[in-house]
Amino acid sequence: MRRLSWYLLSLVCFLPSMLLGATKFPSYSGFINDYAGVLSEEAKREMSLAASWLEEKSGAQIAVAILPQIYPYDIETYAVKLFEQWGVGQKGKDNGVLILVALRERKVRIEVGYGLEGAIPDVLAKEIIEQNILPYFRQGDFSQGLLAGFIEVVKLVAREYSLDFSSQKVSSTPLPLSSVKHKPSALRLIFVLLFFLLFMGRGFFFPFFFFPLGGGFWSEGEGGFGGGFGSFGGFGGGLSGGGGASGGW
Amino acid sequence: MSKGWGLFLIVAAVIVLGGGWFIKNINVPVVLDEEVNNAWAQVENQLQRRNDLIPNLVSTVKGYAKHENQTLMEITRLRSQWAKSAGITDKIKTANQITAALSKLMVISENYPQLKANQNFLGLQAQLEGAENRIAVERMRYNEAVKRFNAYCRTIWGGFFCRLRGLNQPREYFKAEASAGKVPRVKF
Repeated sequence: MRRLSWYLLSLVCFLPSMLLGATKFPSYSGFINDYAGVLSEEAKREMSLAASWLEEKSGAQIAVAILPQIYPYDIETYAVKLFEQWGVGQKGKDNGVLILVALRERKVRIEVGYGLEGAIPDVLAKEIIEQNILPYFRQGDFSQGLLAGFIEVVKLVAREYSLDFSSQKVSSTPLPLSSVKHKPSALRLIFVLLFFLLFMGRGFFFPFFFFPLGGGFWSEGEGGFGGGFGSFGGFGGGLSGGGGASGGW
Repeated sequence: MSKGWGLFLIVAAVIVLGGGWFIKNINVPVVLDEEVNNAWAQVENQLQRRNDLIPNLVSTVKGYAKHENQTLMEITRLRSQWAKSAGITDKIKTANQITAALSKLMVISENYPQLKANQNFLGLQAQLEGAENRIAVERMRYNEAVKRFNAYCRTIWGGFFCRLRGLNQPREYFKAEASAGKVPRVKF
């Protein structure tokens, strides 16, 4: 049954993009989206858990996207558009943060939602990039750099909600290692099409249509995803207005 | 069923459907226009936010770059001009001038190593970058709202409803000046 609903889900997420033609922006599969496959499992897990913890306690959402390239956009424009597309943070509260890394452009940006501009002023975002992220990035250690920056961002947001964040506490929570890790294959595509045909006429399929969980069918193959850790129920429709900072290495 | 009944039903259907269509569309121009106003308010917020950085920036630069008085005075003058300017056209023009003057100032600051090392200045620089980026984002959203309104009013039926609500003037786009947004090149 789990497998079945997973197939349905991936189909549902995949279908709109199929209908609309090529989508410009990748769809997310969790808080941490590594489309370039440069993060270690450990870093992914650590960040996912911290993000889940923060969301559970405060509702704020922190997303990470690592892309091989963002041509033809510059990092500022891409960040604001991806933020809007995903809707990081809660609708109306706009309490989201997106950390975007573009590998080919060698740029990183912390994009802060409207609601958190007080918690993470531009100067602090810049500081996190320059002091926590870039030193590691310059040595090619993306996992360590991103993790360090991520934790700083979580700390700032946690402080805004009067929470106390210590990574120890989060790491020691039991890991719900889920089995949602597949490799896309022809077989899977056939399954998906089969289910599509089976359920299309029965109305069974349509309630799933607006399910807010992301996870593109195709993009999953481009490097393992960190969506399986902690709990994740999709982003909430938050918006950003260009707050934050960028840096390059 | 008699012939009269059939005719009556057809006329009733036309009235109901047409009336529904009319009611559905009568408020669209107003809603779109209000979205433009709202987007403009956001742009103005961010422009104001950048202007609020200017006094601090000017006084910081002044301490190090004594020969750049002209640029600094120009920026101060533009800031007070902004406060006086009324209407969107005027404000867009002044804002573009401020953008150009500020980017010139940033280029000039490259010539003063001590200024560049100043912690206060570095903070202001990050804030200014953020302000410019926010303006760019809100400008983009404003232009999208203007496009929605203008495009609607140029369609046949949309134009009809726009005239009906007295909103037949197209709204003005916020075009960044050709030189604005790009950092001027320094020649050596």
